Amino acid sequence: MAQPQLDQLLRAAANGDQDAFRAIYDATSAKLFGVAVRILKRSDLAEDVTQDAYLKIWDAAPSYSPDIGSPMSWMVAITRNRAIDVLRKRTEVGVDDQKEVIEQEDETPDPYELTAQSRDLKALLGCMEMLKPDQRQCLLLAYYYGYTHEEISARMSTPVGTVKSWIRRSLARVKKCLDDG
Amino acid sequence: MAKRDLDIFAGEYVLGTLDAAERTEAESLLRSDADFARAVRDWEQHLSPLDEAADPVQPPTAVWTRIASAMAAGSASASNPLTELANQMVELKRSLSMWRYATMTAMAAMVALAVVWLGGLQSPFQAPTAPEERYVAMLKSEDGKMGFVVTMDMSGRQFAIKPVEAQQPQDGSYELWAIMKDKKTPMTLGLVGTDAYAMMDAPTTMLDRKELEQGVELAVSMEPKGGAPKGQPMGPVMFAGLLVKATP
Repeated sequence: MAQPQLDQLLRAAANGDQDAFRAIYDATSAKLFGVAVRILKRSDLAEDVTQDAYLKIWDAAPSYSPDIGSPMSWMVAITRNRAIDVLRKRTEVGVDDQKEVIEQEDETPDPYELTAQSRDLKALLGCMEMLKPDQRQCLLLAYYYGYTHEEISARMSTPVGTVKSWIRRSLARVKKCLDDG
Repeated sequence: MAKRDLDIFAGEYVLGTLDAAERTEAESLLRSDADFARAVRDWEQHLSPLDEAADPVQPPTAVWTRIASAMAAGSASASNPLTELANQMVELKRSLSMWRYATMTAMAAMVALAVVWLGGLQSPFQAPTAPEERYVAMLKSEDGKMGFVVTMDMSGRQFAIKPVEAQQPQDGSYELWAIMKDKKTPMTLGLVGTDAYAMMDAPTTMLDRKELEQGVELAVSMEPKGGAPKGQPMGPVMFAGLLVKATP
């Protein structure tokens, strides 16, 4: 619905139209910030990531083409990548300040409960139905929070090796199912 | 890597389960391997519908303010950013290689400013209540990667450097330089890290409005660990950009 409009705005932004870019920001920032907050669990870091993501979107707008996905999935991918990079960097240097941690209900978003689902989401969820509930949960934890194999293993009380092979096998099955779709 | 493994590796990358080293590997594949890049795009399209179930959260208004001032800095520096940047880099490389052989003039030994890690501090990009005079530079690499963003606050006589896409060099240090139009040699501003913001004092020449009008270029070069031994850049320029006024 809103897609063709985002397409047009992005084309205008690619030509340097700052008002169009502002309109993109207004239409999408709550979504992208939500993605960053969920992964980083800290508002200040999520703000930085959101800022970086939009600057990257502004910079890369000329290279966007519909072949690489919808504008929204392209923008979400840029934000998630940046958020996960920041998350990994922090874990690596062992930063462990609990400052400004956003208390989130410990409840993974459940796409199956959505009343309105896009066609693409229906297709994906249909394919994920084939997986065992635990394996499905691994995929959701990874996607929504950017957890590593180790973190998922701790959350699910399942050995890392098992988590790794579950995820690989699940990805292969989902991919085959979507391709055959 | 076999095609199937490549596909799964792309899936893991998009899903977000890879650790930092594996992500770096995936990112370099992304640039060098068209099949892998396509596999990543496919996974992004396949998995992104999951975000329909994610709750939107309104970001604070300061986020847009910061984006807008960085954008102003970017578009003011060039009419056609890519070719302009390429030209700047060529120019800069040429002058850097000249420095290598030029007699080292006794440059006032800028005390190498220690890198101060201020990760926990308030963001220096926070929008002030009254507009303050600020300059911004986006330091980009030749292939368009945004390595660092520098914001200089004229009244505070300080600047903040924030890593964006710059990766910590394996064995070496990043050193930041200011290049003034009428000075023959670049001035070191100290070493910069890629993990967190750093606040640094701006030397007086960098705050000089006449210099700024003529154009002060900032460049990050790759130097041996601990910085350029002779106080002059020896290594390649990794990122560069012009300081431009970001406030009215």
